[in-house]
Amino acid sequence: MTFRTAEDGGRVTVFLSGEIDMDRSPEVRKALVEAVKRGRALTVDMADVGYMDSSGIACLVLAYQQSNGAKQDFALANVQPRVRKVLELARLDKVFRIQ
Amino acid sequence: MNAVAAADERSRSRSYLSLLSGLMEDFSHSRIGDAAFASSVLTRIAQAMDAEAASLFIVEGDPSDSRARLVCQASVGPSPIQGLSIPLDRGIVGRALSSGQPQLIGDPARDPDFVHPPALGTPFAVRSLMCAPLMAMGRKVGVVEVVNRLGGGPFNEQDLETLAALAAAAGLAVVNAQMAEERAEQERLQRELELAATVQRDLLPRDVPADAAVHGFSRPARGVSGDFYDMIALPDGRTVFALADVSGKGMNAALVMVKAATLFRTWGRRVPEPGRLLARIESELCETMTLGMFVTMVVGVWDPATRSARIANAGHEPPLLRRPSGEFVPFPASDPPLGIVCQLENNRYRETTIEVGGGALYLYTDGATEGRIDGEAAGEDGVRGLIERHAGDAAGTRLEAIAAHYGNELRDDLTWLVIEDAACARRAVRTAARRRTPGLLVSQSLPAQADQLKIVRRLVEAAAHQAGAGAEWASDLAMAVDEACQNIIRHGYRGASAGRIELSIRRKGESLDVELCDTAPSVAPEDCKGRSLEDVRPGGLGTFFMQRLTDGVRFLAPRGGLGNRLLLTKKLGGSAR
Repeated sequence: MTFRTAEDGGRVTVFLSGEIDMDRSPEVRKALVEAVKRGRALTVDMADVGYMDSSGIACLVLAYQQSNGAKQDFALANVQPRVRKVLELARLDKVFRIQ
Repeated sequence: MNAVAAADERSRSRSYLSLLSGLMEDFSHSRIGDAAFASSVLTRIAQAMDAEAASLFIVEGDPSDSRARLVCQASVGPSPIQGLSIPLDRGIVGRALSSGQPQLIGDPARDPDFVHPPALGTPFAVRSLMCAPLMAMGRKVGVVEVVNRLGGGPFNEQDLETLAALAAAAGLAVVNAQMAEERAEQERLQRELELAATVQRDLLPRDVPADAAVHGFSRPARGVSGDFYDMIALPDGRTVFALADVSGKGMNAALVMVKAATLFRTWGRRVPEPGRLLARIESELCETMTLGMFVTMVVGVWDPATRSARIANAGHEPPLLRRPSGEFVPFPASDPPLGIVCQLENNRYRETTIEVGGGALYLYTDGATEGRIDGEAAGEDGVRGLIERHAGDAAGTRLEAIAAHYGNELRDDLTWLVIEDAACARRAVRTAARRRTPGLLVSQSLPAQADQLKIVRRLVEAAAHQAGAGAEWASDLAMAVDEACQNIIRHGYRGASAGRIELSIRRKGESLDVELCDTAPSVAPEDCKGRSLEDVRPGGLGTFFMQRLTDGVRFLAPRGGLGNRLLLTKKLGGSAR
């Protein structure tokens, strides 16, 4: 499956959904890398993500680093408590801009 | 001896020697069994020895058998006796054979063993006679006889020595020819046995699907087998199966086996009722059965709907049911073997229904109980121990693993059949394990693949819920186990698809223990440290999460020394509960 995306004035939003684990993370990586190439800024909407493990987090880190390299903004939106806990554990809440 | 006689003697010696070397040469590439060759050899012997007549007798039949005869294969002289057949101990010819000593008779008429000419069909007067046995390699195979020296005088000791030497050479030629024939015959028989064994092997079921309920294995002790097994899938989902053992070994048992197997193939589909099926096979077997032979046979019908087997047993070893608990129940035969009574045509053989459920029903021939398991006499206990050892193997490969314990040198044909509902057996094993291990909440074997992680998380969450933990606590543990499984898939098996992960979760006091076993190359625990969080990069977070989300991550010594065994512990107490 592919993830829904939206574009608004150069900002691409990728709507992730479901449980992002080792099985799903290759799709997530592909979607985020494409979005960074396509737009001038990236928002990852996490409203429908109930679970994310280290392989999903790794995709976010990769997209964040590529955005930085391209001097683009990178933000997370609508992070659910379960995923927020994981980001906090990894101290990534201090790294990512979370809306 | 005067000068003329001495010169004559020397000339004869020379001619003997040249004859001897000539014959040895001929024997090396010809066969004395060939009548024309035998005749030409005899003619040359007679000429060289100045003999009036000569005959070659060859033993026909086994010398230890009283019916064996000495038969004249070639004969030269005024009154040939070719074809004459005498008992092995008859006459001077017989005496030469039985004593193994050359015989020189100056006056045959006065010898008590001499058979008078009319009886031998030789109308000329026998004045002087020599016989020498044909012997080589411990076999006495014939006698060469020369009669009457031309020119009158009797044969002497030197003549006898020469004849003995010629006979020894001829004996060697005959024995060589016989052994070559025997070898050729043995090779021909061996080829035929191999062909027969191939035909028999082809009668056994092939390409049985791994998830089939009935699996079999058969290996003959020698080339051909008196055992067989077979199975026929019925359109309604049931399976008719059979296992049989023909009394005796060798080709006669193998032929009866083929007949019984063919009868089962023919009637199994049409009469899928064990009792009637056995009666039908028996009545047809009896029509042509060799007296004294019999067949022990079990036929049955497996019904997957009831997970039971209905069997009838004609004198065979009791089928053995292994219950999931490890208990064994034998089902002794209720009727005699096929081919003995031959009166049951209108009767049915008695039927027994065996509730297999989550257990496994084993049928085997006496090669299983009377053979040697890992070098020790098998017996009933050995068979049960072997079944127990391999109870965890997949049914499709279990019998081969069992048979391997009997080694390569079988004393008797070995045949096994197992009937099992694989899915039901797996469930039963888990239930039994749970019963045996207090506190065990989950025991599951999973393929080491990313698409199984969701199932892993659900299993962990369910176990946590059962233990009374809250949703967040459960989710934390599920994530830790997910991360551990990822490490196994990624770094243990390195993406190889055949690996498995054994997951077990048990409650231990006020905490849950999650154990993950794999068979990947061993991982050094120090390689699995969490990384510093200052280093923002993809990957490497898994072990950090495992440590933060649980109360303990430990590598244990793997069972059997293979693979890795990781234990995650999380305390149930506290606010997270």
